[in-house]
Amino acid sequence: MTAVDAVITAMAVRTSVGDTIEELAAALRDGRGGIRAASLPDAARVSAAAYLPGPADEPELVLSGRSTRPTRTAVRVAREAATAAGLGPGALARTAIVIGGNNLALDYQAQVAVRMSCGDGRVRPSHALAHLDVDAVGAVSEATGATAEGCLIGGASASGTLALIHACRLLALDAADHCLVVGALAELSVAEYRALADSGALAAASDEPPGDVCRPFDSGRRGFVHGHGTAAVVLERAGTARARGARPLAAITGLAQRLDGKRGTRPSADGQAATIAAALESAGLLPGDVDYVNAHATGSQLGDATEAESLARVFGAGPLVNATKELTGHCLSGSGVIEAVATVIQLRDGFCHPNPNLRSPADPRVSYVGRKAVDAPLRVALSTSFAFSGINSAIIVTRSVQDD
Amino acid sequence: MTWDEVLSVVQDETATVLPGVTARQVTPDVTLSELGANSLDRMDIVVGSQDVLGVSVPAAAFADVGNVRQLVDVLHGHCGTT
Repeated sequence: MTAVDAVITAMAVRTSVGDTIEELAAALRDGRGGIRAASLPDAARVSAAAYLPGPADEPELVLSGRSTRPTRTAVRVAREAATAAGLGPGALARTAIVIGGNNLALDYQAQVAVRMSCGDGRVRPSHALAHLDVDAVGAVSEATGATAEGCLIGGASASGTLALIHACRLLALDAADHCLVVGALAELSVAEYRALADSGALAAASDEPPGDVCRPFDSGRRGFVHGHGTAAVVLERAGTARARGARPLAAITGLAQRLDGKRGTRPSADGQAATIAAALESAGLLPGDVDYVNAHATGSQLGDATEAESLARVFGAGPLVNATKELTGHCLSGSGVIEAVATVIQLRDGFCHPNPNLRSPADPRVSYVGRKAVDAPLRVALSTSFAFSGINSAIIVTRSVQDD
Repeated sequence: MTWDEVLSVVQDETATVLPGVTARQVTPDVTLSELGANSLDRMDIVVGSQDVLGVSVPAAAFADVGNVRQLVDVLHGHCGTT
């Protein structure tokens, strides 16, 4: 028995490498990435990104037809997850909505501002609602029928994991019986691309093949690549799931969140290691119990070096480590939930996905999966998310054994 | 600006705002709600039509508007002659 009691009973994704759980599972096993050449203005100084395939607009969604891309995609994954979970009207009245992310529709915001100041001067009255991230909460509530409490949880690149943590706490407080958790798609406008590229966090434009640009933990890495992606999961207490006959896909058995005590973009190995240790402690686990780590690992110079240091401190050469962002791009606020889903898939199917671009690990103290998938009977996994402003977060995900 | 020209503007704006609705469906006797518009969509259509027509109509003037015909009547009434 552990203090954290939350099982995942449904999942849905939209990423550059898969629109369904099984498409994502196949991409993970094959190490197939979605990073392509990006046709952005030269001023962005970015040449690669992992965007969603197909048209940006999804006209069949009349409900959310006037809303932003983050809201529209949140509605899609939330509705799929709620349907897959089989939540009926009674359950939906006790289902909370927690959406990870803030500053989501930055490209939309920039385009509205440009149209106002340099274009025809027009703006739709519905911008009064559409400009707010919280439009996604109402749209997801209307689309799914979930009417317990709801809000967004903002923590930049850690938002998705923070949302999962918040949902676990709502369940522990009995504030809801079920939680619909979404890691929201986050746009960047030309201005954010440029600032992130110039600051060295994001890989600046180059002539190399787009699929080679993102190289987490590799000595040749030179920054993250942005991805568009979102995922949703349904969380509930194990007893709630059992009572309604819902099959757990995996359990969240530990969690932790800590601050570095400073403003800025620099990560801290002390803060990361303390957060990982606290997550293990909350699950009643020792470092040697962890089979697999889904690392935050964006492919940035300082970020990956810091994370390798914190993993080596806590685990030594223990668990297998990989980086899903090499395949999906860095989906910012979406990442935490996307990577939780990727972790559940690997626990379920018994493998760790490869990182084809990891040719020359910069820090050899960590046991990277490397360029080929590894089959392994995984039981306990750690998924980390770290963000600007010194935000560290981690969850422990455990494979569900039937009749547990 | 004739009444039919104002109707044409409203038809185009409605088709732009509402995914899946074509201008031909926006007939004088239909209501925007029947076409699937919520309150925000209706504001987008009404304000968007004013932007195209180059007029500014007080919101209160639309208080009694039901269908597309009545909406065009109000807009046309603020468009000056013909």
